[in-house]
Amino acid sequence: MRYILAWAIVSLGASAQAGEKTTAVLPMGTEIPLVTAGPLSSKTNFKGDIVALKTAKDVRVEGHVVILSGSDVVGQVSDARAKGAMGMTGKLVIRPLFIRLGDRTVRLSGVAQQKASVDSGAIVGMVLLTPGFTGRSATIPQGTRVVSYVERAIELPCVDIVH
Amino acid sequence: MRYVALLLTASFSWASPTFAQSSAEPTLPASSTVTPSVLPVLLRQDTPIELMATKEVSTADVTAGTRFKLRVNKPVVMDGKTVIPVGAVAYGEVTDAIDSGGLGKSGRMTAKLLYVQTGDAQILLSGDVSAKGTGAGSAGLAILFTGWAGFFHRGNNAKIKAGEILTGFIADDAWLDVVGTIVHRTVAPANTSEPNVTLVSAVVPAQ
Repeated sequence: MRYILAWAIVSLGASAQAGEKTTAVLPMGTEIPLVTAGPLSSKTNFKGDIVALKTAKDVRVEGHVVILSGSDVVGQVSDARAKGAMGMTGKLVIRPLFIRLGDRTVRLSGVAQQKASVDSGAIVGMVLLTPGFTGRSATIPQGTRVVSYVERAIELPCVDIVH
Repeated sequence: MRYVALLLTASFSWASPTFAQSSAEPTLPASSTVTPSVLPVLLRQDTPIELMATKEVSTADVTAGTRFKLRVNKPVVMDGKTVIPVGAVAYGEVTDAIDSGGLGKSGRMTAKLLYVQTGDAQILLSGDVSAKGTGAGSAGLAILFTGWAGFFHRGNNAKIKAGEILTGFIADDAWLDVVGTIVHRTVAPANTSEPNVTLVSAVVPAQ
């Protein structure tokens, strides 16, 4: 038991002496590319809905990975408008909120917006012919890229160093 | 007189045996029924918290400065202890409200989250919400179909609907004493080293 304890103390001291960096500060404003984890639509999603996103690539600080590609990101529908009569098109806006890494939270800002489009000529024609004509729903397909930014600087463990 | 007193005492203990028994039973000390928290729990800055609007907040009846109630929709659990339970009350404040108007002008509203009440502790929140009334372009159609009357068509009010989910964040680190369902705010333990706490607080500008 004493030997194990002694070995642990020596190995701890050795790693400290080597000066191996185990954490890194992720600065405010760092760009983190994300992708949507599932399809979203103004037909099925409403304002306030929590949506799943994922990081599109590893996030590195001074060469060390602090957030792995594919990490779960929580986002929210910040605005949603269902399609309506008279050719009113749907609208869907999502914003990334945070990444949870253990007991740490990386707060994010950013926005992704999708508005269904209909030709103005089609609207005039359809309104005159069929006043009940509805517009299209806005959809954000799975894998849509969303750019987010770190809202607060935070110290994170370097993932590529932890054995 | 002494006999009367003895008789009264005897009859009382006979008439209420349960009382006599319960008073005779050894009572457990309070400490054995309520397990005190070993260490206070740190509720970190930026911990997310899911809230729900309990009542509709509309630009029809609020102005900047109006406070509104929210409820915690998901518990916040730290170190296996529920520090903020479902149903805890949180508050928000309308920071800007523009009523809807003629010609289909839709209302706009922004609000910020203030704090959540858990036990005796008030924990500051950060996060904001914005809402915009829908149907801003409907005035044109109203004029098209109703003529001059369409000019009196009002836009929709901006609303935070009842049941809408809002996401907030803990604004500052908070040390909490959690004993069962009782939560108190406390000070950081003397031997706790939290370098990140200082770093984050120092780097982040006030919002």
